[in-house]
Amino acid sequence: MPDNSIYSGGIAMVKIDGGKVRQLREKKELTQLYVATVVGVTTDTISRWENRRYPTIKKENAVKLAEALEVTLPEILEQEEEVSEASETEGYEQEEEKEEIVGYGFQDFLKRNYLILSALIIIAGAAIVIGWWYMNRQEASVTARRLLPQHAAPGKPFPVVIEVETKAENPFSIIIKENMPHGCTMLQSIPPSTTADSTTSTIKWISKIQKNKTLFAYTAKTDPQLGAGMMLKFSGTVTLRRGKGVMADIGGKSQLEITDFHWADTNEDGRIDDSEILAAYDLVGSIKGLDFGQDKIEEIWASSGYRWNEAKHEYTVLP
Amino acid sequence: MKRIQFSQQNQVSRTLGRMLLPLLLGIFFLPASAFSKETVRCKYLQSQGQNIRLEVSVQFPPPGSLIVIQQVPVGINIEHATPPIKKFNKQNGEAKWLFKGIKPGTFVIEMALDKPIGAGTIKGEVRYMDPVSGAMIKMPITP
Repeated sequence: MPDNSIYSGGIAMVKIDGGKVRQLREKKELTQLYVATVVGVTTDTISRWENRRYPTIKKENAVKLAEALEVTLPEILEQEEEVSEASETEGYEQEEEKEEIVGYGFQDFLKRNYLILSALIIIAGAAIVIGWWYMNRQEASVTARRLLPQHAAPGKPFPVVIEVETKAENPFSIIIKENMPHGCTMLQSIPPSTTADSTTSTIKWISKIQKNKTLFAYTAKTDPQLGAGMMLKFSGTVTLRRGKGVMADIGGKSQLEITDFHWADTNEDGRIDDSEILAAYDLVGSIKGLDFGQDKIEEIWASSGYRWNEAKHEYTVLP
Repeated sequence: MKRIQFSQQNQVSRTLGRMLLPLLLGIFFLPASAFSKETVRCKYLQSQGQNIRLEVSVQFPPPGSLIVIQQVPVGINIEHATPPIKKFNKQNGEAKWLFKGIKPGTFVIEMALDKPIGAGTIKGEVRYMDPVSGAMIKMPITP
């Protein structure tokens, strides 16, 4: 076997003289079919070699070609024995190579860009999910939570706010049913309640809501005879009047303690300081028309403090 | 040669992918606080003499309420203020204003003192609940 210095890892190629090959074949009166059979290729390949369409062929095939023509290898070669492993010139193999380039290019594109393609697929998937959620958000749940002070003095008013939130674009009706503890009396509600049953201490609103937050607020006072330390429990539900008529509990705070301190005096130190008055206005200040005792709160804030007068059931504002 | 080309191009796409992925994740997970800004800004239009003027600018979304505090040197009396002072502590010269139902915009607090004060002797502070985070904000006002 001829020595092939680039055989390891590569295909050795040689440059043949197609004209010489034809000359030698015709001189020996050999057919293309015979030569093709000996080499192990097609007659089309022999024809291409002889017509110099693919001047470089596998060295292995060149050796067999020389044997078929009964000559030595150098006699059918052109100037360079070996060219490179890159260009395969046998017709069948070249066709194979062409197909390989086409197929390889597409696979290569996928392999090279798999990260970018993955990212694009994730974005498309997220867009589909977000779009589906957006189209269906009218069916999304309504959430309701109650904002309630920690404590209140017996017989003194305090505010309660119910925040109802939905992402639905179109307005729809809901029923809010708020159950106050026994002995509590509602003083005012914004918006005005649909019904307020003093015997059961229940307040109802039937209202339309749509996207974003809607507030239902009321002020109430407890029984003046209640003693300090008593815990009063609030509960409520919100029912949708569309679709399946889903009912959900009102979340958030549900307990209020009876103490000697003003509801805005959150740290129970006998004063309403800057942070406490700001928090009080943050809770109910935006509800127009709701009287939550703002004058008394500001009076206490502007003073040095207050004391609870048990006998009169009143706050005494200190100078 | 083909194999070498594939390796180089793969490296480029991997680098691009590494750059794209954090960007995509950042878009999805960037917190809203990254876009927050000061809701209330104050500056003294006049901070010395007998007439003190403080400009308060409120951005959207406005806080539910706002407390402005100005502290004049002890011994100085505030003869007149617009809007009226809600609370004045003579012992430390601290005057407080409470603003409710605030809308975005600008307003000026004016004080007429009984005696002139020098530059840098007045100081102030604005306090409010941040409408986005709910946190209590205390921001000093310096001339």
